Amino acid sequence: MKQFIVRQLKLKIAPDQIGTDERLFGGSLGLDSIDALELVVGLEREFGITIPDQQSGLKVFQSVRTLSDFVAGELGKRGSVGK
Amino acid sequence: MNSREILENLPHRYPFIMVDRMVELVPREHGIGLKNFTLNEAFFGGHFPGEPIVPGVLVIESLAQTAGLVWLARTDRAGKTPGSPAGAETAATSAITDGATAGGMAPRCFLAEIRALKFKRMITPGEQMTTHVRIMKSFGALAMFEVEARVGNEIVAQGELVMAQRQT
Repeated sequence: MKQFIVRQLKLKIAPDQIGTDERLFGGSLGLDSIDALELVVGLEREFGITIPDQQSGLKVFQSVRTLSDFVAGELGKRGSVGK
Repeated sequence: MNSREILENLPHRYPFIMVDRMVELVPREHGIGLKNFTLNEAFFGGHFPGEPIVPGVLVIESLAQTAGLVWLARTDRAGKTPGSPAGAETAATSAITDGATAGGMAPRCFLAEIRALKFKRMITPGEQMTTHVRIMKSFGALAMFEVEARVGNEIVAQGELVMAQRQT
């Protein structure tokens, strides 16, 4: 997930410099709403996962941990149906 | 949408209005704009003297203005939006008018990010460019557009833009 974030947002830091529980938005990473949109589009393209609205997005993007929990959950749901 | 309607829906004026006509418009989804380039344009004198070439940034500007029209066009003007039934127009109209405060500023959007833009060939005076834009995703006050500029059937530029809407 950290690699995904660095790659998607073209951040000039190494993935492991992002704290797992660090606030992604409004914190020291300096991410803004355009970055949020980039992550939403990136999730759709790379994982086929859709964020339905801004409210859900705010919860999912709080930290790397909330994001990866969400992605794992979504992919897990799909795995059980068989793809 | 003809030029008069464009002037009603876009705040841009000379020397910066880069869409002559909308050929197709499905509000909040996709649209196709059209711009003619004539040797008499103000910028050709300087870009470049003796070799008039359409500046890439103005192709982007035309794509961004087309995107703005798709996102914010009011459809309450004599129902000129092709292909949309009357019911859909009413719904779209109230979405726009709800966004403007009483006596306040009209909703407006701004270019927020040029995510990718490739220019495949140069455009020269006498050519007619069509600007094809489609909303890929919108999220809060932002919308990401897939954009393509064409001359005839040939793609001359393509990429992605993000527009940001000002609230009131």
